[in-house]
Amino acid sequence: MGSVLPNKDTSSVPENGATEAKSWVPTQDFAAGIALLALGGFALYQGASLPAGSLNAVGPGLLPRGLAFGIVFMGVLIILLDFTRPGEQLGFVNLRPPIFIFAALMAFALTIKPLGLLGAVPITVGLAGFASAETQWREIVVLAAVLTVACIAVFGYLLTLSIPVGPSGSAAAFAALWK
Amino acid sequence: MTELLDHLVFGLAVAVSPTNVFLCLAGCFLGTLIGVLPGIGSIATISMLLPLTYSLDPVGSLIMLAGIYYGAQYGGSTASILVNVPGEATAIITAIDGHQMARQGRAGAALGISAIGSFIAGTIATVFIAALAIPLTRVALEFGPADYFSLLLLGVLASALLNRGAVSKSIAMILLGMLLATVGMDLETAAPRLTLGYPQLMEQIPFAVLAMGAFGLAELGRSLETPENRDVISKQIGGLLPSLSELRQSVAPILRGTALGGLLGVLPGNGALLGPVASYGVEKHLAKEPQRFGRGAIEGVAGPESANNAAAQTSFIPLLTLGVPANAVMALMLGAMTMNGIVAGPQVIERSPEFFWGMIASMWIGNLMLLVINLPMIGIWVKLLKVPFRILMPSIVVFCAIGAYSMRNEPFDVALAGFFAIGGYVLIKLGFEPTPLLLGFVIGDMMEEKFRQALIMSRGSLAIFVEQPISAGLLAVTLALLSVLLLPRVRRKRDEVIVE
Repeated sequence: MGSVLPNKDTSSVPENGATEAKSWVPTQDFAAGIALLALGGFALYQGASLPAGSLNAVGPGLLPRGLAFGIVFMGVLIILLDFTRPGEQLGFVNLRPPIFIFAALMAFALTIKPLGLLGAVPITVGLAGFASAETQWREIVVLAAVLTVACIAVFGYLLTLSIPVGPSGSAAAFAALWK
Repeated sequence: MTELLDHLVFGLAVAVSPTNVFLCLAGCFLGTLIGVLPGIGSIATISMLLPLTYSLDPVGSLIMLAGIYYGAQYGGSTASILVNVPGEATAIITAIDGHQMARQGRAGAALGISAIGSFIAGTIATVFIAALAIPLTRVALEFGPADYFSLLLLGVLASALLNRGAVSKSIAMILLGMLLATVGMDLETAAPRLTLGYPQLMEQIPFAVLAMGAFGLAELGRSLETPENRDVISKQIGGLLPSLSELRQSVAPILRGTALGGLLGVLPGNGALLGPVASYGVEKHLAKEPQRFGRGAIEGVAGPESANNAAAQTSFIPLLTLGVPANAVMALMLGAMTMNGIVAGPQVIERSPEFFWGMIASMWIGNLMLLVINLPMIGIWVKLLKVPFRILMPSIVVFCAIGAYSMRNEPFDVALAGFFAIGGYVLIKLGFEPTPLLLGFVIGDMMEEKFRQALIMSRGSLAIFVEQPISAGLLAVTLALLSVLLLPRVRRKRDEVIVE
């Protein structure tokens, strides 16, 4: 059953041995610890102005600060543990899928109010299409068209979610045509 | 006993209202639809479908979610039998013999026995839950704020520690989840906390957005990394009804699997995963010819699948009676309850009996639905499995965007889901498990509230947590668990069991 699981194999990681020391690849745990330090530090900085209060009257800042310190502590601990017993190197990170999924969602967030589903769905589909290396563009165009019509029909009219269907003002303009 | 029956009948009456039956059906269908996609597990499925339930009433919403859960589980088994790409850990065991059966042209029988086994397991587990519910809640009603705090601490630590991944990283994720839960207006002083100046964050980070981003979309991003390599069974599926001898072979494994899964499912953490593993081991051990296992033994499908489903059911017990989620799926359920204004805990059974018993009865109905709708529809799922992922993926992204938007008609939430998707992806790559993060997020609020209440009762003295006998006992168990897990020998053993 182990073979079905994605094994933690270090073999796929390029061997950056001591002989070729030009690019240093951090271990996964080292990077993880740094990430925790950054997150905890950011929370401490953001929550610095919140009063912690006392145990008698707990203030709004006590828990966020306590947790942020905890996160920083775990970060330090993970880095120290990694020094004593270095773990596997940071695996290959292919940022293409998450970046384009992120871009697609951002585009939807920015366009849904001004353009409605009519504009937002094709843009989102197009950007999400970039996320996969195997995308074929003819398929994406067809998919965008089909999804746009389907989403407008299902979400705009059938389920009547209060989601804008077309560009803002277009419904009024459309209605004005028939006056 | 008659009391138990009364409750179940009462619950059934709630669950069989036309709306609720429809919601259960829709949930099972949609859950299977997404869950059957290779590489997308039930946690990702539920988190992506969560916004759908937002506008429903509490009973309906939880019934639909439970339906989605069972559907996703069943879809996962279908995918692992037909494609050998298990959507999640619990389906890995099914893939071993199930896929072999499919290659021998017996996919129908494998799918059939998995549905039948799941149904039997689900039926037994439902009665088990109903029977345990009242005594357990009675105990929990004695709990004061300090006791509750300690219980939550034990619950969240236990489920994180018994999960995959390094202990230190799991604890860090719990803390991060709790930190994310503090974002928004402070409950008592109304001061904005860590909102970065965004008014949209005043009412907390929407739970569904976090789950959708960090679980659903991050998972989607990860599954796109590797080129697609699907080996969909092209052979005929074969008859769905297992033959009489196959049925006879399966009866004992189904019952044993139900018992194992049902008991292990109550445990926090990976209880639901241990069930199928244990069941497979037991069946192989008891078999007259153990060498048949791995080559398409029907017992290797019947037992683990029943264990899987029984565990999926009984893992509701800690949530419904104590308000403590045992695993990530239950954390999602708890989040949905909170979204609907139901305060989880032992008081639910008294305050909203129609919710409680309706939910339990709908579990059984959900299992029945799976049997009735999914077996005839198997052809559709096979066709769906042949649709390339590059076409499904943009569609899923669009549906997620619409879902995130429509909860509050707030474009900000869509962007937030995007941020969590990237964050979740990076965390996965750094070797963090998203599950403890979600548990921390869901439990964080409750823990803070109980912590403050306890301190108010004790006038600021932390001693209350060790002076109250229940709380002290729970803290002792927590400490014992922590120290035992830090022993190198136990840790190695734990890794073996969990990684397997």
